[in-house]
Amino acid sequence: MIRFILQKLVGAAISISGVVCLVFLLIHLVPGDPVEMMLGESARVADRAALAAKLGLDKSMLQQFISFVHGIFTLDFGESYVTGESITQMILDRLPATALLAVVSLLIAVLIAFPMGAIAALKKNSIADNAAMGFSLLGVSIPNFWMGQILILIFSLLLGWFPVSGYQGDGAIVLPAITLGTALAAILSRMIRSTLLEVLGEDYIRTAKAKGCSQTRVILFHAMRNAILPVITLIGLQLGTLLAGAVITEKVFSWPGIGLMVVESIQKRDYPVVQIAVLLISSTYVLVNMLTDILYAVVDPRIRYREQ
Amino acid sequence: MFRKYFPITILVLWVLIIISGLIFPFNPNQIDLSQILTTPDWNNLLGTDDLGRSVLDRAITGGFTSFIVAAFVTIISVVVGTAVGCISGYVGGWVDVITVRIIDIFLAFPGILLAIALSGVMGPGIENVIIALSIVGWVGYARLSRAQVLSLKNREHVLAAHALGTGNLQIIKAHILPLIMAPLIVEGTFGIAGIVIAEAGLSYLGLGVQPPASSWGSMIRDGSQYLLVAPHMVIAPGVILMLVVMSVNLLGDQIRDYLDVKDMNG
Repeated sequence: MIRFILQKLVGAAISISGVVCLVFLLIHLVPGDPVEMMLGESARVADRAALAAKLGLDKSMLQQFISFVHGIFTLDFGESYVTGESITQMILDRLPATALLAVVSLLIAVLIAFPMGAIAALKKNSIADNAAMGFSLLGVSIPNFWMGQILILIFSLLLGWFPVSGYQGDGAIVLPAITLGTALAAILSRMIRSTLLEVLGEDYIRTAKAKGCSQTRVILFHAMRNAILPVITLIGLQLGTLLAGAVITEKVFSWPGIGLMVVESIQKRDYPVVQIAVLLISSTYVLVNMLTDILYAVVDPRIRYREQ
Repeated sequence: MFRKYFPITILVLWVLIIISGLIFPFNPNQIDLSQILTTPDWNNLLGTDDLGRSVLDRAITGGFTSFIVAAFVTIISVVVGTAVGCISGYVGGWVDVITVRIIDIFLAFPGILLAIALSGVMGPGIENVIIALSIVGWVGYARLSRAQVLSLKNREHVLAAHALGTGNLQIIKAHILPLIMAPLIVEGTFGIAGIVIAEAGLSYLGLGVQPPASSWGSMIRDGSQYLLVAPHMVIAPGVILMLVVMSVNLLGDQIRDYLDVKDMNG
């Protein structure tokens, strides 16, 4: 078991190091002078030199990389080029909003997807199943930004139930969370359905039925318990959908989280902030996936034996 | 009946619209200040936008944008990804170890986050959207084709070809590629849906095509400022986008069932 956890830790460490390198190279790989991109072509020479010095772009690549990595380890990410604010502080300010939105959306997704996936699997090929899978198809085919606009149109502008945008105000979280949650529910319900269908075909389900267990008991204690494990992994993997979807959804609703910070910083050409925000989102994703893998292996011994 | 023909009908319409855009004179950029924000009527079937431009004409040229992006990105991603995956799986050893690591690093960026960052740094424009989405897109095909090659390379017919002295390239081309085409085609079809949404998303963020060129994503963004007075500006391109993406997804399901592809990354 310890070996398995170590393997996963090393894997995650390598992935995150790779992400660090890629994010560092982001502004160097792109053709053109980053300073010119930020200031525009008409900037004065003195301004350019000042910005290059401030960002450390006048030093060698190696020196820049070392100070970038040093900043990450000391959690001092430097300053925003536009506002001069500390990037660490900016992130701390924005983090609660994104975390709140992610948790509430995940909750909505689970509350929709579990019953829907279960009913679809139990009544395979019925009207309920077709309706659930129709919803799922709609969910994956409607982009977050359009769904968000339509929700704003109906529930904010026409009905006036919720604020159009922002963080303050009663129920401000409802529409962004529904936007993200339903998108995730669409993917999850489909996966829950296929996982349950697989489990329902197992021998122990037949045995339970043969013993005379009630339908509810078979589903709740025999099928669900076995189906829930792969589903937890799927939820972990889908956290990426949530994190990336949050970038666009936060923009639609002006929800002041990390995602909106990425979009705003891109518009202001504030590349240091973009780098750190992308690094943060990706590292979270890698770490959550690693924890899900480990959790899965702790609960299901078959996994850790197979991988060794 | 409906399920069977719906996706192909919409997709044929998508292609027809693109061809018709080359033949008929659409005026997606024709500004008419006397016709600002008019709701749909017989003159303008989908209404007009904030500059009096026809939403229908702009939606048609927007369809052209998304088709071009989807075509280029899919071709580049499939070719590069399959080549990398085949070589990695076939050669094995340290080449494979390094390739898998690189794939893992790219997969560490959730969804289109890397594409957003890349097009943000490269600046807006349709070429940059294609580059950004291709950089993100090849990884999936590389992972898929590598897994497939690994399960195939010790099959009897490949070993027989080896024993007969067939060259490695020829083995990949004639004895492995044909067998991994089915899952690649299925993955590619679903991939198109993802690219259409991603392009619209980037354009919605202002990172895609630049005005006056149109994209479904940028049309929705423009319309979001006039949501209450001219909801058709948001609804029309969104419904079209949704129909196309849904059709591609349904077509993917149909192709998967037809080619009988089951677990693809096994």
